[in-house]
Amino acid sequence: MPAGRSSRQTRRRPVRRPRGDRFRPVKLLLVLVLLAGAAALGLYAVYLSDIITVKFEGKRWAVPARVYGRPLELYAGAPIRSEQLVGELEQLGYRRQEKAGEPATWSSSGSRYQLSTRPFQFWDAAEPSRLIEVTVGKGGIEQLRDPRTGAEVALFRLEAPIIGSIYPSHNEDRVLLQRQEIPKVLIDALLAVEDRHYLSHWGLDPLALARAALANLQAGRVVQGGSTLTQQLVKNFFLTEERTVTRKVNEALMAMVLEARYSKDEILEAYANEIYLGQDGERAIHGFGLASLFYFNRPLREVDLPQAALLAGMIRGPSLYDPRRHPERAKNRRDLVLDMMQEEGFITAEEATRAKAASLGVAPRGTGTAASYPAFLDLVRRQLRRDYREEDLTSVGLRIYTTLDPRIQRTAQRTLAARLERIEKERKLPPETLEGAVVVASPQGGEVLAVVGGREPRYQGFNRALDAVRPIGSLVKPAVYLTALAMPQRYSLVTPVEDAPISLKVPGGRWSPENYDKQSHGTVTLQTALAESYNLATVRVGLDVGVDRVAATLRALGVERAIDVVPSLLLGSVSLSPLEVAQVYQPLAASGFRTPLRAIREVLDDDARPLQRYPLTVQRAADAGPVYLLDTAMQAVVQSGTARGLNASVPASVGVAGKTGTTDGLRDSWFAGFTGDMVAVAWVGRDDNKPTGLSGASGALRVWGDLMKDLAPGPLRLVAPDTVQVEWVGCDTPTKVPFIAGHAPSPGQGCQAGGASTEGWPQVQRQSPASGPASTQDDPISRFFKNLLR
Amino acid sequence: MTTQTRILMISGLLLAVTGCSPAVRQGPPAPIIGPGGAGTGMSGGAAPAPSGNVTVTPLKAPEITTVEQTPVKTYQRSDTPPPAQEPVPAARPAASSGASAPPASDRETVALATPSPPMSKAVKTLLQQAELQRTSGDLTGAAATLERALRIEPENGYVWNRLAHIRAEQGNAGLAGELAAKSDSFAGGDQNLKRDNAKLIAQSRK
Repeated sequence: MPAGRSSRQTRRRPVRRPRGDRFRPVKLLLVLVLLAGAAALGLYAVYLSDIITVKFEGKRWAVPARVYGRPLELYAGAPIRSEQLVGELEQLGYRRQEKAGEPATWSSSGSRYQLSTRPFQFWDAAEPSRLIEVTVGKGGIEQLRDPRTGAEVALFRLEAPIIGSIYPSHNEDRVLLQRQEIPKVLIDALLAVEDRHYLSHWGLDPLALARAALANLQAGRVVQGGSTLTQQLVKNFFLTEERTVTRKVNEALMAMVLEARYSKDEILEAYANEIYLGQDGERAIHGFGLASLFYFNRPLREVDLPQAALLAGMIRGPSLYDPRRHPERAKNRRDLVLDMMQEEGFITAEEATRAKAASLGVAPRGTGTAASYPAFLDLVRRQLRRDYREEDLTSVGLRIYTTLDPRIQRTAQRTLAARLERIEKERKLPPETLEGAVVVASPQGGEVLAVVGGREPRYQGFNRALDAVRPIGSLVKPAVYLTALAMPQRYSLVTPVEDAPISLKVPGGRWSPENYDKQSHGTVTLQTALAESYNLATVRVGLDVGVDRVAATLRALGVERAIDVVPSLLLGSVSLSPLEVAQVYQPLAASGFRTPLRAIREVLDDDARPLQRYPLTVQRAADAGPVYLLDTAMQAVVQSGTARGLNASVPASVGVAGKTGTTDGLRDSWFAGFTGDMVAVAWVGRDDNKPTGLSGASGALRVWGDLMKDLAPGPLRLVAPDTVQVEWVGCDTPTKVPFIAGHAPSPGQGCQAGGASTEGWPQVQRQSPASGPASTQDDPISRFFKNLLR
Repeated sequence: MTTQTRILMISGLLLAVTGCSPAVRQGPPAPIIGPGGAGTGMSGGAAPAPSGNVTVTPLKAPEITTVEQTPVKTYQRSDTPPPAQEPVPAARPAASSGASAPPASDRETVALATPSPPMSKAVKTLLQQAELQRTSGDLTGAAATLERALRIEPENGYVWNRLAHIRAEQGNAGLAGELAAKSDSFAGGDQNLKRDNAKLIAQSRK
């Protein structure tokens, strides 16, 4: 064009010759400047084009690793009750309908549920969408079948729930979409509200700009934007936020280059993935894919018209129109978008009216990806960091399948927070001073089912479950007694032990431990010493078997930290995190087999190809016999010992085995225990390590009890291994006591002295119905008992 | 270069357009805004990942560690992924009843001929699936399936025994022995199972 202009001027030359001569150099200069300017602009555009190419054709986004919880397994006999099934479906964002139809819907009639599932890519197979009928009874799932064929289905797993993502340090989270995954209804809404001429313009929309400028002038402030989608994308993609003319020109130029080089669909896809749509703590919600999960707890392909309109409307001001915080404002905005869609002819008036009548459809916080389990994700991240580079975790879209059970996790979060608040009120403690942590794992599989890092579970700060490393107090005692019980020639559950004052010379002075109640309890059985958590008796037993042996037992059970082999170890001077304690107790809940606790099952790449598995491994940590004896004693802790308060919340039939723990000055309150299907640890204390005034029983035990009450755990059925024989023991009220085979005291001994029960030591053996007549009067154990009763 | 001539044309057009475009917009910026802190919304552009095909491989190639530092085997994809639906010889109906007895002596299994402990249909189905995977050479898949069965019935000694066999076939005699010992703790009075576990344990001590 500049060339054309100069030729026109040449033609005029003859007419204005006399005057023109004077201006001729100026005109020439002008032409040259124009030409140079155009050339410079052209070169600049080429330069911009290069920038755009690199960015647009490279990998545009760091796609965070997506983290999934465990898929719920459905099968006849599964202990899943109706409310649990419905809860899982709600968490997955399934909609209840008259009749289950398209994927992610369900219906019910009585105890029969029909689910139409979403397809899901598991580690080992792709599970297609299918219709399934579940009959649920009081005890759990009774039957599973295909309602179309009537055929029985042996088992079925629902999709794994998304529980979070591992996003990069700039906190951008997104779920990447492809163009064909963006529903038409959303595109319609987007174009209606943000860029009506998108499909026809070439990057800029002068008309829209002019209209916006006019509107803004009239209003005296900015009420409208005239930027096209392309301009918006350019601005986010390539430019800074400064508002200068240069930037505006750059934006326009780049928008045109982008349009010239790429298709409308490509630009739309980029826009849909880039757009900022809200904030979740420090996590920025980017792209429609994640926004749909975040706000509606359903994948984008399932959004309906009103939801699409809301998403499109929120672009203008994600926090202004946040449907959770400002539902009223969000609704008005959505309805406006619906009006615009109708104006553009995308929807009929009737459709608009119906959509306006719909609720916002927002999922409550705490469901789907809006729920966050930072403490558990922290554990996942730490485990992954050993095996993957940080940048791979946050950018290449890995799929991480974890062991988290969202139901247990949510219950643990809720019960911990509620119980701490209650304790503070009851004890008139300053509010929000108590803190706590909970870890739950599966006993045989070692899978971490829940991790709560504090009473404010959404807070991403100090993760007490992993990082509050505190003295474990009496939680160490099972290791002391396990060490003793592994010496059957010296110790059994009924071995009398002295609970009497003891003072030891230690480096730097003397160590004189005391009991919790400052009393001595005389001669008691080993089981009673554990059940009542007597310190003096424990120290005596521990010194007898050897502190180094106790330390070795702890290491075998799973302590990896350096252990100070000093007498105070016997009362729990070793400091561990709640997660480490869970590891130590896991083998006790699994017949002595240690399984390293795992939070991750599998890792897949972004194409859902298997990358890595974290397999189940086991290792013998302690012999089954002594562990069995110890477990029965730990059940006595709950039945009649320091944890008897638990009976108020958990039925005795569950047979919980556990141990309370309290540390010096009542700083740390612990309870660790297990049922048939869970090994769980609770800790309560203060971040500043000041005394709480709580013992293990009055703090952590109550948290633990609340948790189990709500979870309805499976009963602990201890099975005596072959190496154990059970004998009747006691004179007045004989009880069955397990012994390591070959080491049971001879029956019929001990009651000859009159059958009197002495205080704290009532167990004396009598004729055992289960065994033959007494063989010898002189075996050492019988003598021991006789002496004892003298 | 056609793109460059196009760009030249566009830039010419732009001259005209910028002439009539209104002055820079005042007030809030265009719709796409970053959260809270300025510029956050742009950071997606600021931190592009390296382009090209990114392949992720676990850092420690042959072995990875779990939370507890126990060496475990990395999942390794076999070069030729085993066809899951590989036709099973008709003479091997045992596969549908849970366990087959492949010819190789080291693949000797606890025959299901002995009454197996009562187990749910779900676990039976998974055992069959694992056996199919095993016979088709997909040992990793078989192990994963057995672990799934163990999540349903963690105290099923038979499933633990099957997992022990898979590990033995993979050459991990040590883990096989531990798994067999674990299986034994749930074996109850099942003498066949105990005998088979004893064999695995003996092999692990060689």
